[in-house]
Amino acid sequence: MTYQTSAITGYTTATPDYTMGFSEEFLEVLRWYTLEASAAYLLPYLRPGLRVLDFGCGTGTISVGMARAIEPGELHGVDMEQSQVELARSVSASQGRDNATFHVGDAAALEFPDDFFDLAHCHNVLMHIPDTQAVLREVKRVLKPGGIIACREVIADSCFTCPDFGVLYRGWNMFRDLLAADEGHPQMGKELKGHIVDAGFANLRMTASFSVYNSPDELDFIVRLVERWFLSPEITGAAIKYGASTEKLVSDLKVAFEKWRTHPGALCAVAFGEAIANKPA
Amino acid sequence: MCAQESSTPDYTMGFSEEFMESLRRYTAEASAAYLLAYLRPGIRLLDFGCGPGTISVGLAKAIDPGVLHGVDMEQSQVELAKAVAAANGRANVKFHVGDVTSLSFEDNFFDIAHCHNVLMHVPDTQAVMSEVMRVLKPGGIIACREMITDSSFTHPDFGVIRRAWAMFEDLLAADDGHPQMGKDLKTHVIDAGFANVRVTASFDVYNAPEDIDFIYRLANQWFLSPEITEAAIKYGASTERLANEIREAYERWKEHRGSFAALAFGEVVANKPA
Repeated sequence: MTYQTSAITGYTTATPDYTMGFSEEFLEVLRWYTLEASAAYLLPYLRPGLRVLDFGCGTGTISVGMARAIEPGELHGVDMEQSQVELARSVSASQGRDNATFHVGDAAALEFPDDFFDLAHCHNVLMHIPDTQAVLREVKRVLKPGGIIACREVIADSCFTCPDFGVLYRGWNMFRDLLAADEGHPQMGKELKGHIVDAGFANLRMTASFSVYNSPDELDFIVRLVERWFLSPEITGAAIKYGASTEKLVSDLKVAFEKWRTHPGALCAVAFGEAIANKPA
Repeated sequence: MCAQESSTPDYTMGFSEEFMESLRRYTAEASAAYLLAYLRPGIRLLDFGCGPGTISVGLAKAIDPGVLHGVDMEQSQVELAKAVAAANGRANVKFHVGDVTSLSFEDNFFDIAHCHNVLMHVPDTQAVMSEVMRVLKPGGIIACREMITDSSFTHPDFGVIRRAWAMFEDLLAADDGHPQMGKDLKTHVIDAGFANVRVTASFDVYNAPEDIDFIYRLANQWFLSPEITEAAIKYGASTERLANEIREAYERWKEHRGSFAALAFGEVVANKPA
């Protein structure tokens, strides 16, 4: 694994294609992603004894929930980032999980035998990887015949912040254009169905959902995320460099977020598409 | 601007058979899941803008022996709702023709007041909110689920179908409606003086072959019908050329392996101060 400095964010990461960086606030986002909050669509498919792959597991917050649900089965989490894998191991240890193993690895070149897993899951992973089919082919290889693939990915165009003041939607556009500049897929949640059909999976079930930020502590979280991550000099600098934003837009967004944070009707919603499908038996 | 006779000039949507099929898909389980946890046997419930009563009968079942009152401006909808209730053997429902900004109920009468895709069609949101506040008991619950057209989508889009959503928005706005009402619910219920506001959001997803076929038929036989298209052209929301492009795009969409549509909704639950 060679570590490189991302051309876009300036963060040192193992993958130059991962735009999002790893500020403390970004890691806080991942801590909000629990199994129940972020993979509710998957819960009916988890059974004790399954062997599960969590590809692009990040800090492992969803992974440990899945591991608990499949015990005594084993969960393998894979992430390109050494730092994320180490966090995932800490998260798992702090919860006393001994059926979860975390590996540094590439989702497009997995070190597992063919027909190994009952279920393979990812959350906001395909949105960051340029070649979707390379990942889906590899996941299909390591799944048992009849095994399940489950993916939840963002739909940037359906996300919103309200009230918008005629400005905040342009923050979502900046997010979208920054991802696209890194060969990511900001609308992946909509595109999942076509990709999964193309990869030869069967029995496809699509759903879609929102994660909503409404209560004072949820709104605080969004405000901190925006101030310290999304509108940080690192991210806005990259966005301006890649044509996804301008100095003027960044300052308009800062003003609008100040108004938004104190508005009684403040609301933020992140939209996701979800796919469940089977490797043909 | 509807082709059919309609008692409200502000209701753009018309009542074709395909539109009615879309309402029949709206059951309490499918369209009011966020509200189910608040329903208890014996409570008195108002369904304002009840339409053909498909959600109403599900809500009524959950509150039996409590009574559900459904109110709609349209005589035809109220008659449909009565027929739906009779077909379901629901005895604890009463449907009334009425105006949601001027309800014929006394103050402090209901435990819960519910609506689904109603505020999006009514020009004066606060007029409805204050009337609903009046008829709710202190501590009573208002529950609304309304569309967010900006977050709704048809995929793949072929660079065209989003313009059908824009046409839908323009048509609603031309009638003083609110195509993004689902986003604005929180602000409206706070402005009206409700407390303890809980907001959620959800999608109705169309993915299975029969769902795709339903959307295709809805697009062709209702949304792209001569009646709606002519109204949209008259109000500057569409052109002949755009209508044809949208029609062709839906033909391609129906056959596409990745075709997928989702309607986005905002949901709010809040209490009248005790």
